[in-house]
Amino acid sequence: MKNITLIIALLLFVSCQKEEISSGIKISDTFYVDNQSASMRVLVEGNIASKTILLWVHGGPGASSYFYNSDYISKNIEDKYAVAYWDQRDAGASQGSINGEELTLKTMTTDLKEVISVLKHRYGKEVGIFMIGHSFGGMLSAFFVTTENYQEMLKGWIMFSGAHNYPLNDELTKTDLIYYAEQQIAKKKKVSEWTEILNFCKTIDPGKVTGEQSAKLNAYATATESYFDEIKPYSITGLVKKNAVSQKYPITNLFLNLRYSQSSKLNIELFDYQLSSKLHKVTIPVLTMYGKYDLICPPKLGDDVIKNISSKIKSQVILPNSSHGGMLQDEELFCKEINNFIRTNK
Amino acid sequence: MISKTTVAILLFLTISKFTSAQDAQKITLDLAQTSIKAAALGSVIYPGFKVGIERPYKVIQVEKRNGRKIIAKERALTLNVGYYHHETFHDNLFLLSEWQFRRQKSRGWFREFAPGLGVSKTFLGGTTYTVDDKNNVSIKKAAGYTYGMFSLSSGFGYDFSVKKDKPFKLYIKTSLLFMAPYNSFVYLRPTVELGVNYKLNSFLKASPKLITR
Repeated sequence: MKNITLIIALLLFVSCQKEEISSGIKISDTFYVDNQSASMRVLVEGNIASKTILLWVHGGPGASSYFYNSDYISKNIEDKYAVAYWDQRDAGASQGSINGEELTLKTMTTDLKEVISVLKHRYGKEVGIFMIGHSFGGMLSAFFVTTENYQEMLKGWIMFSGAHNYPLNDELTKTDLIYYAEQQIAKKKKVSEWTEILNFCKTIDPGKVTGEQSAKLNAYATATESYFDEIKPYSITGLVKKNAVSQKYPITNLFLNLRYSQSSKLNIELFDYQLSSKLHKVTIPVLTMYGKYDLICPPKLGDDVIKNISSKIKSQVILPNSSHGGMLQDEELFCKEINNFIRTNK
Repeated sequence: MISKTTVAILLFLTISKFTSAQDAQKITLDLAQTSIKAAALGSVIYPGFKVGIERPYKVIQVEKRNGRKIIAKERALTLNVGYYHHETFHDNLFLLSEWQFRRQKSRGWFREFAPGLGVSKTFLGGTTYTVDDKNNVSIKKAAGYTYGMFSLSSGFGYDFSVKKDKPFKLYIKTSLLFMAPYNSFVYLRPTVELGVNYKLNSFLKASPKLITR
């Protein structure tokens, strides 16, 4: 028994040391980046021969990059460039020990910097990296590009339905909820649901959204994703069902990490956090993409980004059939715009 | 007319006859013995194994229906080594001691429940890198974590020694493995094992305390 255990341990030890780096136009490499008691999974898929990587910074906190790895993106972006799916600490397939105190924007920004360093170490210093931040990932990526000279590690930044200013986000969500509630009630659509939302929004004093109200605004904004006829429905649950086995999801890890991160101090700390005042530091090419019907992170957040950055190359795209999941709702336009942005700036 | 005495005698004879018939059918169960276990362990769809040793320390035999039915409540301690491989996530090697409660029936079937305590060592499912303050990247060898482990499992099986005089049992068991502290929280992993338990009659002979009721 002792011998068997020893042999297994030895085999594992040897196998885990081996560095396997793929090359070519259709790679699939998984590796981990270890920082401050967390080991974060990174999956790189697609065309690494292009020497260009699109790095996902997922939402949450506590969601996962698995949810962005769709067939459409595989066929329409990964065929041209490599895509890096990074699971942040306490998210997705990332693992660790006692690291709750490190779940902060500052540490996560260091994590992100280290992930980029490892990507360059593995695939070559000449590799160009484009970062795309979605939802909470918009905040984290904004923090990254406004920290020291970190933006120099990137060729471009894509703000996709991201939130870089939580108080502004709450105000815009409230304004849009009122606008659409009145419009939809007039059209006699989902009248009771929209009336409840309208009544709630009218109880909020302008410029004084409390933490509890902010959470409720977010819940209402999420609920509205199924209220519009114009929005193409999407389902993260459907994506999980489809890909859980083929992409080897650690399901319980995803669920428990999400549960932990969603109830962490980070969410409370972010409630009144904003980076609009620091965006002037940004000089790299920037693309913003928001869903027209995204009430979780309304499109006017993109206007604020464009208004405040110092980049000479900047553009805005509105996804016409999308709410918060534009990569699944307007996938054709989404991929086309990403590919154009990378091709122009790589 | 049948007298009361005749009725009493007939009743006595009938009861005596019935009782002796029951004595003839009285069933016994062999005392539990030290055994080794080996199982294929599936963690969701990911393969693994579990091997271990089981040592009984107490058996409570309960007779029912005047001995025509007997149940043995076996208590044992087990020590196991388990492993599963979840590609691109982690490999997990664990040492687990379980406190096993088994209810063995006279027809050979049994069911069991076992809480357990142990330690787990994971090995991450890919090359793991660290980056120092000067941005130097290096590989972390045998990267992974050591966690405390708690488990709950239950299952059922068939003991071939009861009716067929073969010294082994087959069993199926589902478990929940809890590992902590995991990302400052807990990690939960369901497993299913399909295994064989082989009775050792001479090696590490156990003398479990027998209680009859």
